[in-house]
Amino acid sequence: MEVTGFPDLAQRYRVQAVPKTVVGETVQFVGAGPEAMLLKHVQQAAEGPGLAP
Amino acid sequence: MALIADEVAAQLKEEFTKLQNPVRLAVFSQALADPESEQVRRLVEELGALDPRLTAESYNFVLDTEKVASLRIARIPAIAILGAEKDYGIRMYGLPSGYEFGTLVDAILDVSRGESGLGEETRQGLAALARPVHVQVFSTPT
Repeated sequence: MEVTGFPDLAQRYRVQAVPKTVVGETVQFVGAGPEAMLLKHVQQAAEGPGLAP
Repeated sequence: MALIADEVAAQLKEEFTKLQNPVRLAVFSQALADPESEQVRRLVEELGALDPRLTAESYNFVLDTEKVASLRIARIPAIAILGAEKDYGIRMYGLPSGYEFGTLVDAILDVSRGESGLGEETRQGLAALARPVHVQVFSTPT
Protein backbone atom coordinates (compact mmCIF):
# COMPACT_ATOMS: atom_id res chain seq x y z
CA MET A 1 0.00 0.00 0.00
CA GLU A 2 1.76 3.09 -1.25
CA VAL A 3 0.23 5.59 1.13
CA THR A 4 0.90 8.98 -0.49
CA GLY A 5 -1.93 8.35 -2.95
CA PHE A 6 -4.34 7.52 -0.13
CA PRO A 7 -4.32 10.35 2.42
CA ASP A 8 -7.58 9.05 3.90
CA LEU A 9 -5.86 5.82 4.91
CA ALA A 10 -2.76 7.64 6.16
CA GLN A 11 -5.03 9.60 8.45
CA ARG A 12 -7.26 6.68 9.44
CA TYR A 13 -4.29 4.52 10.49
CA ARG A 14 -2.12 7.44 11.63
CA VAL A 15 0.73 6.55 9.31
CA GLN A 16 3.60 8.84 10.35
CA ALA A 17 6.56 6.53 9.80
CA VAL A 18 6.94 3.70 7.31
CA PRO A 19 6.84 0.81 6.86
CA LYS A 20 3.79 0.67 9.07
CA THR A 21 1.87 -2.57 9.36
CA VAL A 22 -1.79 -2.66 10.37
CA VAL A 23 -3.18 -6.07 11.30
CA GLY A 24 -6.97 -6.24 11.38
CA GLU A 25 -8.15 -2.79 12.37
CA THR A 26 -6.51 -2.32 15.73
CA VAL A 27 -3.07 -3.95 15.92
CA GLN A 28 -0.28 -1.78 14.54
CA PHE A 29 3.49 -1.60 14.51
CA VAL A 30 6.21 0.34 12.70
CA GLY A 31 9.28 -1.17 11.06
CA ALA A 32 10.27 -4.78 10.62
CA GLY A 33 10.14 -7.44 13.30
CA PRO A 34 10.70 -11.14 13.77
CA GLU A 35 8.24 -13.51 12.15
CA ALA A 36 7.06 -14.71 15.56
CA MET A 37 6.01 -11.17 16.46
CA LEU A 38 3.98 -10.83 13.26
CA LEU A 39 2.28 -14.16 13.96
CA LYS A 40 1.43 -12.98 17.46
CA HIS A 41 -0.12 -9.77 16.11
CA VAL A 42 -2.15 -11.72 13.55
CA GLN A 43 -3.38 -14.14 16.22
CA GLN A 44 -4.30 -11.21 18.44
CA ALA A 45 -6.25 -9.57 15.59
CA ALA A 46 -8.09 -12.83 14.83
CA GLU A 47 -9.31 -12.95 18.41
CA GLY A 48 -10.25 -9.29 18.62
CA PRO A 49 -13.34 -7.51 17.30
CA GLY A 50 -14.15 -8.09 13.62
CA LEU A 51 -13.30 -5.89 10.68
CA ALA A 52 -14.78 -2.43 10.66
CA PRO A 53 -17.73 -2.25 8.23
CA MET B 1 7.38 5.28 -24.86
CA ALA B 2 7.84 2.28 -22.62
CA LEU B 3 7.69 2.77 -18.85
CA ILE B 4 10.13 -0.08 -18.32
CA ALA B 5 13.50 0.84 -19.81
CA ASP B 6 15.22 -1.72 -22.05
CA GLU B 7 17.97 -2.59 -19.56
CA VAL B 8 15.44 -3.02 -16.74
CA ALA B 9 13.29 -5.19 -19.02
CA ALA B 10 16.32 -7.38 -19.70
CA GLN B 11 16.99 -7.76 -15.94
CA LEU B 12 13.34 -8.59 -15.32
CA LYS B 13 13.31 -11.23 -18.06
CA GLU B 14 16.28 -12.82 -16.33
CA GLU B 15 14.51 -12.62 -12.96
CA PHE B 16 11.35 -14.14 -14.44
CA THR B 17 13.25 -17.23 -15.59
CA LYS B 18 12.66 -18.24 -11.93
CA LEU B 19 8.90 -18.35 -12.51
CA GLN B 20 7.48 -21.80 -11.82
CA ASN B 21 3.72 -21.56 -12.35
CA PRO B 22 1.74 -18.97 -14.32
CA VAL B 23 0.84 -15.71 -12.58
CA ARG B 24 -2.04 -13.41 -13.46
CA LEU B 25 -1.77 -9.70 -12.78
CA ALA B 26 -5.21 -8.11 -12.57
CA VAL B 27 -4.81 -4.35 -12.72
CA PHE B 28 -7.62 -1.92 -11.91
CA SER B 29 -7.56 1.63 -13.18
CA GLN B 30 -9.85 4.45 -14.17
CA ALA B 31 -8.42 7.14 -16.42
CA LEU B 32 -10.88 9.91 -15.64
CA ALA B 33 -10.97 9.60 -11.88
CA ASP B 34 -7.31 8.77 -11.47
CA PRO B 35 -4.88 9.45 -14.35
CA GLU B 36 -2.04 7.95 -12.28
CA SER B 37 -3.82 4.61 -12.31
CA GLU B 38 -3.37 4.50 -16.09
CA GLN B 39 0.38 4.51 -15.56
CA VAL B 40 0.04 1.45 -13.37
CA ARG B 41 -2.10 -0.28 -16.00
CA ARG B 42 0.56 0.40 -18.64
CA LEU B 43 3.31 -0.81 -16.31
CA VAL B 44 1.48 -4.06 -15.58
CA GLU B 45 0.77 -4.63 -19.28
CA GLU B 46 4.47 -4.15 -20.02
CA LEU B 47 5.33 -6.62 -17.25
CA GLY B 48 2.88 -9.12 -18.69
CA ALA B 49 4.65 -8.95 -22.04
CA LEU B 50 8.02 -9.94 -20.56
CA ASP B 51 7.32 -13.62 -19.95
CA PRO B 52 4.76 -16.05 -21.37
CA ARG B 53 3.96 -17.25 -17.84
CA LEU B 54 2.83 -13.73 -16.86
CA THR B 55 -0.58 -12.48 -17.95
CA ALA B 56 -1.90 -8.97 -17.50
CA GLU B 57 -5.65 -8.48 -17.19
CA SER B 58 -6.85 -4.88 -17.28
CA TYR B 59 -10.09 -3.83 -15.64
CA ASN B 60 -11.94 -0.59 -15.26
CA PHE B 61 -12.63 0.15 -11.60
CA VAL B 62 -16.00 1.75 -12.38
CA LEU B 63 -17.29 -0.51 -15.18
CA ASP B 64 -16.00 -3.97 -14.24
CA THR B 65 -18.05 -4.16 -11.07
CA GLU B 66 -18.16 -7.97 -10.94
CA LYS B 67 -14.39 -8.27 -11.00
CA VAL B 68 -14.00 -5.45 -8.48
CA ALA B 69 -16.37 -7.29 -6.16
CA SER B 70 -14.97 -10.80 -6.63
CA LEU B 71 -11.39 -9.67 -6.05
CA ARG B 72 -12.52 -7.24 -3.35
CA ILE B 73 -10.69 -4.25 -4.79
CA ALA B 74 -11.12 -1.29 -2.48
CA ARG B 75 -9.44 1.55 -4.37
CA ILE B 76 -7.23 2.33 -7.35
CA PRO B 77 -4.63 1.96 -8.65
CA ALA B 78 -4.69 -1.69 -7.62
CA ILE B 79 -2.89 -4.84 -8.71
CA ALA B 80 -4.07 -8.29 -7.65
CA ILE B 81 -1.26 -10.85 -7.92
CA LEU B 82 -3.00 -14.15 -8.60
CA GLY B 83 -1.96 -17.74 -9.15
CA ALA B 84 -3.39 -19.57 -12.15
CA GLU B 85 -6.03 -21.18 -9.95
CA LYS B 86 -5.51 -19.65 -6.56
CA ASP B 87 -5.91 -16.19 -5.06
CA TYR B 88 -3.53 -15.79 -2.13
CA GLY B 89 -5.13 -12.46 -1.27
CA ILE B 90 -2.14 -10.38 -2.31
CA ARG B 91 -3.02 -6.85 -3.43
CA MET B 92 -0.82 -3.89 -4.15
CA TYR B 93 -2.33 -0.42 -4.01
CA GLY B 94 -0.77 2.76 -5.33
CA LEU B 95 2.15 3.33 -7.64
CA PRO B 96 4.71 0.49 -7.51
CA SER B 97 7.72 2.75 -7.98
CA GLY B 98 11.23 2.65 -6.52
CA TYR B 99 11.67 -0.01 -3.85
CA GLU B 100 8.02 -1.03 -4.20
CA PHE B 101 8.64 -2.18 -7.74
CA GLY B 102 10.97 -4.80 -6.27
CA THR B 103 8.23 -5.75 -3.82
CA LEU B 104 5.88 -6.34 -6.75
CA VAL B 105 8.45 -8.52 -8.53
CA ASP B 106 9.02 -10.50 -5.30
CA ALA B 107 5.27 -10.99 -4.88
CA ILE B 108 5.03 -12.30 -8.46
CA LEU B 109 7.81 -14.81 -7.79
CA ASP B 110 6.26 -15.89 -4.44
CA VAL B 111 2.86 -16.47 -6.05
CA SER B 112 4.51 -18.37 -8.90
CA ARG B 113 6.21 -20.67 -6.38
CA GLY B 114 3.05 -20.91 -4.28
CA GLU B 115 5.39 -20.45 -1.35
CA SER B 116 5.41 -17.70 1.29
CA GLY B 117 8.83 -18.42 2.72
CA LEU B 118 7.35 -18.48 6.24
CA GLY B 119 8.65 -20.90 8.85
CA GLU B 120 6.83 -24.05 9.92
CA GLU B 121 5.76 -22.61 13.29
CA THR B 122 4.25 -19.52 11.63
CA ARG B 123 2.39 -21.64 9.07
CA GLN B 124 0.87 -23.79 11.80
CA GLY B 125 -0.15 -20.71 13.76
CA LEU B 126 -1.76 -19.12 10.72
CA ALA B 127 -3.55 -22.32 9.73
CA ALA B 128 -5.18 -22.38 13.18
CA LEU B 129 -6.62 -18.84 12.96
CA ALA B 130 -10.33 -18.67 13.74
CA ARG B 131 -11.02 -16.25 10.90
CA PRO B 132 -9.34 -14.35 8.05
CA VAL B 133 -7.18 -11.39 9.06
CA HIS B 134 -6.49 -8.35 6.89
CA VAL B 135 -2.82 -7.28 6.98
CA GLN B 136 -1.90 -3.93 5.44
CA VAL B 137 1.65 -2.63 5.04
CA PHE B 138 2.01 1.07 4.34
CA SER B 139 5.01 2.49 2.57
CA THR B 140 6.02 5.70 0.81
CA PRO B 141 7.92 6.10 -2.48
CA THR B 142 11.69 5.81 -2.15
